Amino acid sequence: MLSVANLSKTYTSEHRTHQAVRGVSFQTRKGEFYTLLGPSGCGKSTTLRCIAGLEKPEQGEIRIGEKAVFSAAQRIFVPSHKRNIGMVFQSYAIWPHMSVLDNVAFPLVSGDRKLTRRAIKDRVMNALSLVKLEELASQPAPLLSGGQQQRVALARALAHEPEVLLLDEPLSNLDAKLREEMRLQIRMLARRLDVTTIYVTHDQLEALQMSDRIAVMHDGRIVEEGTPKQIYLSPRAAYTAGFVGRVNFFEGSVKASESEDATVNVETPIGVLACHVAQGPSHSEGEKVLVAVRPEGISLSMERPAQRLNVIRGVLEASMFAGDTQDCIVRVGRQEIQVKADPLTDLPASASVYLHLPPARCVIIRELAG
Amino acid sequence: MSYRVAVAVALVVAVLVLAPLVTIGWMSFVPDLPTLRGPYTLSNFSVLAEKATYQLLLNSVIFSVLTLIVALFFGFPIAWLVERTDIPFKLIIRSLVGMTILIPTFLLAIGWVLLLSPTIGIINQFLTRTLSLPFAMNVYTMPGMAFVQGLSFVPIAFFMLSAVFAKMDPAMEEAAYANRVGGWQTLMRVTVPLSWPGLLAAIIYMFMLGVAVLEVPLIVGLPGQIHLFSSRVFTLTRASSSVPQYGIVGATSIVFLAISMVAAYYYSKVIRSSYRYAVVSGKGYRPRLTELGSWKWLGGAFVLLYFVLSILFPFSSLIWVSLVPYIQVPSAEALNSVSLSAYRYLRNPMVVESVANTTVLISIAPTLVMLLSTLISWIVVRSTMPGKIVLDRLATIPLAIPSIIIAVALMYIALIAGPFFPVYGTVWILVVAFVISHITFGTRTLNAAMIQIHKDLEEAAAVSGAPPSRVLRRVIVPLIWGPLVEGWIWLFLLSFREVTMAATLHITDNAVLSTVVWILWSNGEFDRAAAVSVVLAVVMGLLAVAARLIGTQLGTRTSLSG
Repeated sequence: MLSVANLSKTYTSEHRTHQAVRGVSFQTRKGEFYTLLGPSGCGKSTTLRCIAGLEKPEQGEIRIGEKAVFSAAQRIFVPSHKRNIGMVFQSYAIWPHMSVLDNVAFPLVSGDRKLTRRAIKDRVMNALSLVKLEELASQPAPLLSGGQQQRVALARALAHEPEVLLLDEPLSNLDAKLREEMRLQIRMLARRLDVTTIYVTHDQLEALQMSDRIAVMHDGRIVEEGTPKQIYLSPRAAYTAGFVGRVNFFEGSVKASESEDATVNVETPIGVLACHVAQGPSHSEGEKVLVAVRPEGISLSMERPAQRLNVIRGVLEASMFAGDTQDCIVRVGRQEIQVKADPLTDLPASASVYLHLPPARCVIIRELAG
Repeated sequence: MSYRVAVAVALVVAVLVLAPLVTIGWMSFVPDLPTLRGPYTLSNFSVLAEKATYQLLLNSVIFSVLTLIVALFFGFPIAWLVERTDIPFKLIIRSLVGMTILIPTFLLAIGWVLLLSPTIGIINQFLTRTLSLPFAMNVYTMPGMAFVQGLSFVPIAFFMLSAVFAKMDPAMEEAAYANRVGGWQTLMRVTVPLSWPGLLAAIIYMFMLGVAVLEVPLIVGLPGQIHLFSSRVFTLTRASSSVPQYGIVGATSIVFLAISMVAAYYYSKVIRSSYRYAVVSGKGYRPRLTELGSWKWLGGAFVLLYFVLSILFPFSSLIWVSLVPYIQVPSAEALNSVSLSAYRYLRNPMVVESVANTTVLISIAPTLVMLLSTLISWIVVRSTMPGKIVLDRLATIPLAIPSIIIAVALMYIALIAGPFFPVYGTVWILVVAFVISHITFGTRTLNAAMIQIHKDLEEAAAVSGAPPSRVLRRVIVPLIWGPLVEGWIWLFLLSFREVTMAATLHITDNAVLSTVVWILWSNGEFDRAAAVSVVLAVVMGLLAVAARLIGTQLGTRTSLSG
């Protein structure tokens, strides 16, 4: 549906040049919800703006459907207003001099589309009903609350039934409760309309909850791409594991790989860990790897658990009660391990505790650099 | 914005701005009458070896310096009183000063000549005849000229310095008070030094204006045989005495332009550095106001003095002279001869025609300026066009070109390129001159307005399928509507009082109202000149009020976007 190939974009100012996007490539299916996730400055917004035609890249190709809207090789650059897209901006960008109705109608009366007055009105009301704002149609835009403006922006982006919906951190200006509500709404709306959506965010929770697929970006590149489950549970890059959620890393080397239950033993400073191996290239003996284990993947107990594998003894350094969990730091040798413990467990300071790291939660990452 | 449109705009601006400069250079190499064919000569530059030329320039500089001393004498204290003390009636003072900025300088000049001419001046008649004093005051002197011109610059000084005082962080002064430094000491050692960059900017700006103005040098300077650069250029291009000497004008103007450009360079430099000084405070801050106590009356009297000198005296004399058959001291006897006969002249065809020309000028010129400025500012502020900074610089150049030079250059172009530029002797040449000289104002105003519009608002329109022209029409223009209308109104009023270029470009059929006053005045028809002046001032006042009302009406459309 949307395909981006080898995209590069450099900003040049008087003082410096900054390569914001360095060879980004991805493809989405029709109706897919695809998220670009990364910290600020990673190039995710620039990538989105290139797709929208608001920035002109130096290299690469962008196709919407069958049509190339940008191609450096063929010298194609279709301006924004001729790309069949809808976009929601972080600032909402609701035009303050127009009513809600005029805002949403704008894409329908602009450009080449010729619609009757009646048809325009119908489609505007339809778009407004999608975001449950029909009753505000005649309101002047500046009188709306932040959440309402956000929904108007969404209605405006969807009114002309674009091929691709682009969302640039649309929820970051909303308060926490509203944000949760809108996550669900946007996700359901996109699925119902079956519109291909590119979503840009720095919020990992948003990305995990909403996306069909996530591309984690760092320093102008896509580091890893996968479903939310893959990204969270079995990241292949240390960067992904570190950026999406909290994680403990253990450096180690692969021991003789006796393939018992599709696991590999890794010698680490906290002892030998049996790690689950997904399909892929097998590990050779002596190979240096990184083992990533999420704090909530580890279970903490005061007595030795029944399991045979991956049980480690440590000392409780600190614990903080956090309501749904207790955030603990457990020292094993010289390594500090973050663990989420059951909130009901009584945790005396400096207690001796047992950690169980189920092999399924121990993910082997090849690259050693963090 | 499509590339082609941007290039077209840039070309138009380049032609408009550079044409006067190129033409001035060109004409300095042409010996006699305007021509495109040679021969060319360097003989015009011999004027640069003449002492008289430097006397002219020196006179212009002296005049300008004296003028700004007068302007600051009134402007600095009034600005300080209004912004920094508890003087009463601030709003009235501020609006009245705002009104005086609209008084055409030549009306002020004529009013004061009628009062202080050594032979016919009403005050002098009163001194010598009624009181039989052995001396009279003479306005036809350098200090006399500077006094009149200085009065007309007071509003400029006032508004530039008000901005400086208003922006200054009161904590700076409070720190002085808290450390037991007295009020006067604080004023001289904290307030004045802190306002120095703003003050310097005002001084350079007024200096630039002062060396370029024409009205006072013409009305007050010529009778007193005090020649300045601007009045010399004016007389050299008039064919009344001899053949117009464009070559000499060109050669002199180059020197003059150089001075003006240097001043403009320092002006922009000071303006930029003054931002570093300015301490802008957040919301809800109130400057500490000095309590004047019983000094209040002295301050009030000083402000009143300014209004008496700049409004009451000159306009009373204009009204009086328009009502009596010859210039005389008001008396019971003189009151018997009062009549409105001078006002009958308003039915004269020349006046009627000038009204038509004025209407064309004041309606079309401001519109063209704002249209062009909208496009320029949009490109400069928003596009990613390479070289847009050049366009921005081009638009600031007219600030450094004295308007009389723009006028002379356009006249020259019209003379040599008649078929391609058929505007000689029409009001249209005046329109073009006005547009060129005010592009700077238009673009500065709209740049500031456009920077405040969030870029997303425009991009949202583009991704909604709106081509650039539609983005401009439906999003940009509505959002800058307030400043756009205000800028238009200001130019509308300025074009109405415009006289330098109007008089320079006047041939026969393109007189505007202000030119008519000048013609009558130079013919010695004082009562008629006064009558037309009074009408002009009244119309000006009405236009200003009407414009204000319309402006508020139109402005409310955007108040929501605030």
